[in-house]
Amino acid sequence: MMGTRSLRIWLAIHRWSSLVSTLVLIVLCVTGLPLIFRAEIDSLAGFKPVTTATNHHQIAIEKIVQAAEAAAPGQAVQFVAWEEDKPGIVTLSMARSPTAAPDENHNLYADGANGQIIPPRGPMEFIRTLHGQLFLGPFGPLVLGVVTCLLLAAIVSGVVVYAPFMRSLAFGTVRVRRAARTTQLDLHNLLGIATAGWLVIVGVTGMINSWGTFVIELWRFQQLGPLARPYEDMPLPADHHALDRAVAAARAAAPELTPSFVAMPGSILATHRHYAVFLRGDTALTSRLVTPVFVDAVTGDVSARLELPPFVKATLLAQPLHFGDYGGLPLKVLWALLDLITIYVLANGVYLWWTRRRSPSAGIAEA
Amino acid sequence: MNSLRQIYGAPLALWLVAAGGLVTALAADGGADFAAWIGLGCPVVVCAVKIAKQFSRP
Repeated sequence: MMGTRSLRIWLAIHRWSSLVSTLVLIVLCVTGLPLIFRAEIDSLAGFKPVTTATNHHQIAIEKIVQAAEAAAPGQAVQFVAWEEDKPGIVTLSMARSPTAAPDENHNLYADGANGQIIPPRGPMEFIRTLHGQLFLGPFGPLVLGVVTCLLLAAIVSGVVVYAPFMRSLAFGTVRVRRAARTTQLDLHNLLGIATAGWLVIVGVTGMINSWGTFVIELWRFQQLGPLARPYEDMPLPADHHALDRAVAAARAAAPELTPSFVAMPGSILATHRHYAVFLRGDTALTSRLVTPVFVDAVTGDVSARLELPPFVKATLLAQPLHFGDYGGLPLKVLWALLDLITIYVLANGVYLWWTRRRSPSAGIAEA
Repeated sequence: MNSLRQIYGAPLALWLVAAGGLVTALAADGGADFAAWIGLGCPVVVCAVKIAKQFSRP
């Protein structure tokens, strides 16, 4: 078993990695709670865009893009998406210009049946920005990355120091008739160790999600670069009259897949000359992955169908594992319960540290 | 004095069930959601039962 010196070192790692990151982690847990139910909250609050059509017939995408750019003068549509949880609705990601970085994009929604723009932005947009970027702009993902590393250090050291505390106790023991601090320590140990596996998955996938921009940059450098370079100095297409033809060509090139979104020429995921039509599969796994088909915006011909590299696929698969939104309402409820347990473990960890300051030998003695 | 196996056996089982359930539900088609429910339900139920038992003792 562990010596007193190494136990002290592991306890110090656990204590300080947790304390330094606690405030941010509590913000992430508290803002993550409503995000688990964002679809339900948006729907209840009347912010979920709804189509007027019953058969989800869609007018020309070009007309929808024109309607969006008319509704947001001076802005450009960078991405056109068909989200699975919004049938009949077309999501348009608007940017300052066709080539602007997408960090500050905002979404407009259009009724696919008639192109009518639906009033956007529910309260979840604000919470999502706070959760994903902490309102720190490009520094947000870096801060979140550091916090995740601290979280992992706290979990690993927590698992290590769990053993000395449990030498003479059975799993799940909570000594309710002892001092309040002892009861809280047992609850911290039980809840922390039982949820550690889930917390590692959520933490790591959260870090992968927050570094999505870097993953895209790497993909651009590796796979998109050779396709984009010859057209870098070309002017962008003056209009999007070829957009519908491009989507049809991509569908024909990958008939087993369904369009998920289109990246417009000049955007971060396309070239100056191509529409990048990203298509998804229809199985549980392939519906979360996309295959890009690049269609020449001038000739309407398919230039390339690419297979995304494993690191991009891992990023795409990290999203459902972070939000827990792929197993229906029961999984969301369990996700929320585990989130609440994490908030409790964080808060009672601070309580344990605070009460230990008044009795420095308590931690080692209890082990 | 508990051995490492006794100390980490139960937590390890909970982590494996949770991870297995989540990955199965993500990768499999047709009604595999229940795998994730069982996987994540286990740690929640185990904690709830253990705590309830200790607090309800006379």
